Amino acid sequence: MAIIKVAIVEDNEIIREGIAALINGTTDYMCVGSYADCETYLEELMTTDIDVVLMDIQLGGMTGIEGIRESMQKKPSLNILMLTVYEDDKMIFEALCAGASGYLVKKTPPIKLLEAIREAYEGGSPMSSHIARRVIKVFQKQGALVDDSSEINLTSREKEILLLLSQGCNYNEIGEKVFIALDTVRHHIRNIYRKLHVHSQSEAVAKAIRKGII
Amino acid sequence: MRKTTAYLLCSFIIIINTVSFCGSEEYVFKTFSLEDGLSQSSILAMAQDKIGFLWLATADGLNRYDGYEFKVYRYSPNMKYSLSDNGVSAVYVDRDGILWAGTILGALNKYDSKTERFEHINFSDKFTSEQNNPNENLELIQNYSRRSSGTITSIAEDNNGNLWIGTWGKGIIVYNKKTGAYCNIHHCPENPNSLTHNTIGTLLVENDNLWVGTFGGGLNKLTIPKNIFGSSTKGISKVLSFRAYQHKAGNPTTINNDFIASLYLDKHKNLWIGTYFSGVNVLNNVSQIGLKENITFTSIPLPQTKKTANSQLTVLATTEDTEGYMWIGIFGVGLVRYTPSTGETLLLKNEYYNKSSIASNDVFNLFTDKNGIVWIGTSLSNGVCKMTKSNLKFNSLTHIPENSQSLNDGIVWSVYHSKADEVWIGTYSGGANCYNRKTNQYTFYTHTQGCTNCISSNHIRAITEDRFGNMWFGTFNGGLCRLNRKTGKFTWYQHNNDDAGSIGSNQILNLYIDNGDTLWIASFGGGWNYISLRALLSGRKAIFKKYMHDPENPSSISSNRVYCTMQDHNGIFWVGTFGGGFNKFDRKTGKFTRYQHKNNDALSLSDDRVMSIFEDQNHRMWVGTFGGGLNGFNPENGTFTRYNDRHGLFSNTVYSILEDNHSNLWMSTDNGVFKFEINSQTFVHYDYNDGLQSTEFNGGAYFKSSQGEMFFGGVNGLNYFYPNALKKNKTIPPVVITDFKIFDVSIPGEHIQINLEHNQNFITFQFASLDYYNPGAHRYAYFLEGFDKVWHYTDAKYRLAHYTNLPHGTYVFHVKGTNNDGVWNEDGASVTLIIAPPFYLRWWFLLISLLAIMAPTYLVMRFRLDKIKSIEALRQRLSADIHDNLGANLTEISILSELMAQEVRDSAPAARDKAGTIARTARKLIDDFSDTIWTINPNRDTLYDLLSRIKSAHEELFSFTGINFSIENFDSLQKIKLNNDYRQNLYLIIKEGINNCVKHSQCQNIELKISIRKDIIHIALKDDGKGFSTMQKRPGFGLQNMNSRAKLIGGKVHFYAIPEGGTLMTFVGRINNKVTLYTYLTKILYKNLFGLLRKKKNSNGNN
Repeated sequence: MAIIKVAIVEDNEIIREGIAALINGTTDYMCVGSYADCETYLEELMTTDIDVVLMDIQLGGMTGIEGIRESMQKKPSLNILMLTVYEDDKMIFEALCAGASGYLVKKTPPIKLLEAIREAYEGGSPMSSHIARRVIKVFQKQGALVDDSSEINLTSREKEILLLLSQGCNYNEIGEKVFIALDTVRHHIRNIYRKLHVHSQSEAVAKAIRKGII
Repeated sequence: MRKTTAYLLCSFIIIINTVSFCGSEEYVFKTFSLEDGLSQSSILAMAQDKIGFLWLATADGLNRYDGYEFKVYRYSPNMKYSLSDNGVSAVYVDRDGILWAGTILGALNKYDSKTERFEHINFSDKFTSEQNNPNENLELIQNYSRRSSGTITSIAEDNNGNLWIGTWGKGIIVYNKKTGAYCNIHHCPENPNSLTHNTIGTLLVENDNLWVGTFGGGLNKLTIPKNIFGSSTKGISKVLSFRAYQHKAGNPTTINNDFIASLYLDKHKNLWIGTYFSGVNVLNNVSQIGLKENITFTSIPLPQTKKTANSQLTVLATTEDTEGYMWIGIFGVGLVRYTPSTGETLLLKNEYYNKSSIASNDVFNLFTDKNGIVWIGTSLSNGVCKMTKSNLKFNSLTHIPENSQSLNDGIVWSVYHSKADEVWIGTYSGGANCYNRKTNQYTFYTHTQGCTNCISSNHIRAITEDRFGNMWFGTFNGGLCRLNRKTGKFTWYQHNNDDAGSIGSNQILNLYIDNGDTLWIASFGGGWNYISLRALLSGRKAIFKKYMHDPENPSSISSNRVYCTMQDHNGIFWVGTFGGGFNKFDRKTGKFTRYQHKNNDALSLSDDRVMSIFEDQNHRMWVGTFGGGLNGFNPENGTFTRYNDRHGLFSNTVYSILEDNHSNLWMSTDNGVFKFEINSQTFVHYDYNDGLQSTEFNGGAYFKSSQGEMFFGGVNGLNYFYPNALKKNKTIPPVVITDFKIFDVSIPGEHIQINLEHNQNFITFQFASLDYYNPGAHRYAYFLEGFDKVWHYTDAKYRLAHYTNLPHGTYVFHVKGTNNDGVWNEDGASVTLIIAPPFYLRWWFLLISLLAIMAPTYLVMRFRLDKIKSIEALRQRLSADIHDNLGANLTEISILSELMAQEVRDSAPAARDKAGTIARTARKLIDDFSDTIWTINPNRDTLYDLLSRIKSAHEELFSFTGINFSIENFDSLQKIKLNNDYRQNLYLIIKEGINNCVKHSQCQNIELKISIRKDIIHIALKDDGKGFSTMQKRPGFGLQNMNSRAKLIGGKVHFYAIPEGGTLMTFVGRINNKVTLYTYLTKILYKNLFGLLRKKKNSNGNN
């Protein structure tokens, strides 16, 4: 199994060092960099081989969300997982729109943490029902602006999955309902995130998201 | 023109003094003096303004008369705009309608009717010293002796708008009304054509000529220059050229003497000149005279009396009436009516015994008002006299004591006009009087005790004659009586209890003979009797047949007290009774149909005491009652129309009804005679002001002769007249509001609009219609638009309208009035009244109060909001601080513990477990805290949010334990909002419930079902585990906790065992579905403030 190279951007030293230690202490995982702020991370981004980034939302200097944006610009293929203390953070959605692949709660037990990293590495992205509802809203709002290409807009399957998510079904349930495999579900969600990211490039949407309208 | 001169010349030569003394009844005088409110009894001048008020100038005050009261204007030192002095010697109304008053002290007063103020103008500065004073030489009458040289004696207006003012010693003043400039024209010796004398008795303007009657200098005429004030008027007396006409002894064509007291221009432009001592001259057609020198003054021959010789006739006033007569007032002699065409004179003098004669023979002035009434001003307590022609010829026959050729008794109960032109009068105690109109002689038929041949009673209630030469009398207590005219023999028919064929009663009220010579007798108590006259007179025994009232028979006559009999054009009989209404009698069937009063039926007969029934020439029927006024009767449907004072009939008792040839009914009542004009449905009232004997008439005493003459008898004699001869005053009178009072204080002036404060609402209007014939007969009606619903009718005695406590607003007061003959001025007068709202209703007050109320409310709200905000802010700050700090620190703990667990994994397994526990505990803390934070968040305030959090919070647990967790109708709960406390508690309850299930029941499936009906929420948490009983016995499941939480939010938690196995936990409570202002505000604040805080945090760096 390939070793997953993880980078951490977190300003709290104990947490940063702690997670880094946890990662390094696990086989198949390696912490390739731990940074206290985005700027340093971005400097080293191009010269470091990273698979998954764990980025704290609350940072001094450049915010985590800005960091995500910058990072996506520099290395779009990079998976970024947002770290947050509380799950229900408004910022989460913003981060997802900015390009994060998912989010993690800091207190997540190590096992789960590593699992999520692996999942992200493998292309899946967790999405809660709440997030799903918000995503729907984003796409609804965009209806007027963009053209028909399926590059940007959701496919009907994606919409279906999104809807089921928003209703509270977990991935298993979705798979059962739509008669697709779990991996396919994950794959669809990935795409949704990607399109969400594209969508949220638009100024209007970004603003709306920031304002919490969506 | 020439004809009249010839006439007058003839009359000068032929001294025909056709003096008549009789006919003085033709003119009726009514005097008003101090008792009536006149300020002083010496009338110095009179005028009538354009509105219609009469102005009487006296030696002590100016009076305004409206027909009822004298409003007195006097000089008051406290009031700047009062009359300048009290002796007013001249009044004049100019063409603009302004009243000018000249005073004895020489001031000119201009009266402003809108403000009731007088503006004073004094001319004394223009007077020069050389004036003469006539008072030295002559013995003047009292009124003249009051005068001083500056006294204004008369005022006239020329076509240029200047006033010409004559004084009693300072010549003439010309006053320019527009500019206020004035100049003095006096006698100027240097000017041969100057004004001859400075004492001006009187002056008048005729077209462009000024005629000046001087007192000692004869008559002067001036052609009025066009623009007197165009240049300097300083030497005007020297320049103006007067033509003088003076007396030349021995030349009878000249003026009689040079002392002129009065001038009058009649409608033919003849100038009448009244002299002091020398009678009257007339100058004909003065407009044609021009500048001729030789003009003829004709002297009017006046009646001689023993008192005054011809040369002592002082004529202070002349006037013309509307009939073409000239009236000449001879001082000390009386008032002479002069007929210019014939030269006839009629002298009216004071008769001390006759209150309707002229009050005094000292005639000072005469004035004819707009209606043609002549007013005579006298003095020395006699005041002013109003002379009217008695235009109503009510003749009367009355009882004059000691005059045997008058009625022997004034109380008339019956009247009959015989074919021989005799007026038969039945009296109360004088028997029957027969008045022969041709011979003017009375014959009396009285009853004396024990007479051999006389009438059976002195109280005669009915008289009629048959065609056989008999007079029939119905008496009050003597039964029926017949007088054979040829033989002079009386035959009595009286009631006899033993004789059934005798007349029913001795009280006979009415006699009627029909075409078949049947005599119908209305008896009081004896029913309706009848007898064939032919049978009676043929010598047979008199058998009176009777129709009596039978209580058992409703077709019998309604009462035995029969009052009157009438037969209509169809021959049907109508019989009126006293108390039983009236009956229709069909002779063929012998049946009576009754018409009676029905209570509460306004279409029934108004009263059962019927005085008379009448059919007019259009076959309409009328019924007069005692107490119920007049009824119009429709025989077809038996309905009645009632007439009472609302229609103008102000008497409840109508004794008799007659009709004239013009579809007018005439009725005698207890309140005079009324004429009812059927077509216009109006009543005209006549009382003793019009010549009636009294206002009280008697029932049964009425008659209309074949010639149309009407007779009505009453308590003071008999009146007879031809209705066509009565003239009606058709002039529409002007209606004025004479006074307006607030709380009984008069507000002076004319008002078009009155503005009042809200507390000035005790107001009175007083009004009058200005017509002087008989103001007491006027009727009025007023209506306050905006307040009254109907017009209020009133009469002349009460000409006031009071209003109190009117609510604020705009009103219009309307009043209209009639003249003495009921002719209405429908437009009347009106005043707008605006009552301001009290300050507490005014817009600015309301606005201020509103602001005053709103301001504190707003402040309180702001305060509370601020408080809420600050609490919220604090809360947010706290939670934010705690949130971040705690979260971060706890995370550190958990991570470090994990690390530690890993490091000591193999070497110290106990330590590893403990570290694991620390980590778990730390994580749990974060979870719990996260929950709390979550519940505060107002954005997650729906039930949906709550449940989705529960779901996701337990997701790990469920997947770990393998329990299937489902929520029913999840989506539908999106709309249901919960408030903070509710959410928190409910969340914890459900969380606890689920935890119980997971920990203790060992179930496979947990189902959560929520249903809401109205505002009751029903939560069911079902598991399929072990079941109820085991749980019940263990208190530590947080059951108490759950219940107390449930109570906090007004709900209850129950546990039920499911028969198939498992436990059902329910929560039932009431939720408030509405978003309150509080929560809404909180939501907004949370959003904004949290966002602010976050931004602040980001810029400030971590922590």
